[in-house]
Amino acid sequence: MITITNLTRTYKGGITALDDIDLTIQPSGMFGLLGENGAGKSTLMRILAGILKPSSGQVDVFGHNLSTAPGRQAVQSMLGYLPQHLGLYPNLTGAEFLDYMAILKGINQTDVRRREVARVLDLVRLSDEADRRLKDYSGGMQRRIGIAQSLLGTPRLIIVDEPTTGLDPEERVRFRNLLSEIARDAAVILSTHIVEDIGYSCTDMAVLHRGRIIFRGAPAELIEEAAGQVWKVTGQAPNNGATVVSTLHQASGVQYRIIGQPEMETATPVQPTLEDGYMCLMRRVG
Amino acid sequence: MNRILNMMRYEIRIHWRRRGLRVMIISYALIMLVAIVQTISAVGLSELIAAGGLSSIEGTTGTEWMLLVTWTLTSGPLAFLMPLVLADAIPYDKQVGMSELLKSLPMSYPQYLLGKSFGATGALCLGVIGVLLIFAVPWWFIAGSYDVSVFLAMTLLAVPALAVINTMLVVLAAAGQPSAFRGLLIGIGLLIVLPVVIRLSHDNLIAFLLPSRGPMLSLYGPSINTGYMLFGHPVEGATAYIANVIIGLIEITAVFGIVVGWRQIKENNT
Repeated sequence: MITITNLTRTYKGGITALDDIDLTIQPSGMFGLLGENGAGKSTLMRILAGILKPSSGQVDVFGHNLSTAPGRQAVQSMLGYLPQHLGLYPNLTGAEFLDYMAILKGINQTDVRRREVARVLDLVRLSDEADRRLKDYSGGMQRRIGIAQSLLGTPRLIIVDEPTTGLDPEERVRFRNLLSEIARDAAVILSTHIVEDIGYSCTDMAVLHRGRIIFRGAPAELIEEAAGQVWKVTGQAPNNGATVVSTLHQASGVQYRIIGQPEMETATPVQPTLEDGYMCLMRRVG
Repeated sequence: MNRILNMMRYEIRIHWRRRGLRVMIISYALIMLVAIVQTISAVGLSELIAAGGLSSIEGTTGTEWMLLVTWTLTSGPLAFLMPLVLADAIPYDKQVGMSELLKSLPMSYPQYLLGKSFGATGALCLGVIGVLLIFAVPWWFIAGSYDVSVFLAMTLLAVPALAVINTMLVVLAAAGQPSAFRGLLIGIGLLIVLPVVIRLSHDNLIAFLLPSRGPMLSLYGPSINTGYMLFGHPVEGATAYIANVIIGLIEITAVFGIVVGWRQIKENNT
């Protein structure tokens, strides 16, 4: 179990990135963290990864207190972390980079390491490119190597910050499925601003807004937030304060998907999605 | 320890695959080659072979000639220039975007520092020792037969000692810098500006403390027995050299402690 109690993180200059957060995350399953840029998602991820210290409050990961050095060391030895912005050593090959990361993760036996590297390369479908230098990889391939290193050593806690950025649609689906599979035996925390990623893979989620949790529950519950508020309008977009969430150009004219009350006869109600739920929530909190 | 050794292996690979170190070592090898070519063209190859080496012509020993050329051409660049290409060993991680991932790994900061600085030093030693060994044979014929044990002592003890002290000092001093360029500036400040600003002196502790490493440089050079004083006592030759090695190691330990402590303070205040 991951337990976060009264967690506050204030940066130099008085900017509060996280404000008195309480959160409990199950030891297995996929937990999604959603929020706009600057909501505090990355700060929370970095605290959970033991990179940042909280200003106040407590974080316990599988019984280890992250505020203490031994606790941090214990958590980091069972952690797989993919930062939002990850660069790689450009002059190492994919296999060398993963082997180096395995060494730093404390996998000392050469044969165990070799097997681990082969396993994660296979998971991200880069076995054929393993001996190419990383500087010759495309952006998506580099991201996949980043994902591969987070899976080294079969970690109990996997924290991935915006993991699907730079991946093509097919790889995104593959990666979501891979994480869902891993989440059977491990806690996977996925931070993103791509609502779709959470909708398709997470069983539990939270929405962060200006350092505070404004929603906590299952994705289905967030969808419920938008029940009766999502409409489809063809022709003219309403200008009564309703939010246009998508625009579709058709032969019959432009079709708008809106959140709010359209007050138009042509408007027809539609089934809300997770993105609609999120937009409703954000509209409510301003 | 196992992890640090494994880390060294990859750090050496990373440094060798970057341009800076390769260019530096190739330049150093070229200087050695030029020295050989110049000697041959000045004396003449047939004369050199007939006389059995330069030492016979000049009336000195082959060992003296070998040391004069190899140590003079090696020690200066090794003390002042070569560590500069490795000064960015730690800032490079920040520059390429690796530092956040590295901070999430179950590895202490002192372990990380040791792995990085040993790796940089190992990469440099490998290059310099390799070049010295390659040129050992040509010098045998050009300078005349020399004492192999002296050559090995220079190559495997004196050279690594100088490389370890100045390279580790520069790598550690530049550890907190945010970019490779800033790391290089710290290196230039420490190895070049500092010895120039602080007057070079033979009669006090400063000569032993400065990265110019006078007592180490003069071990095999023509300026041997230049009368170094340490705490009021004259120290010369090998004694001065050993004293300088010990003081250098103390400096490294002190800088290591400061870097780790500074990081601790910074973490607590961020």
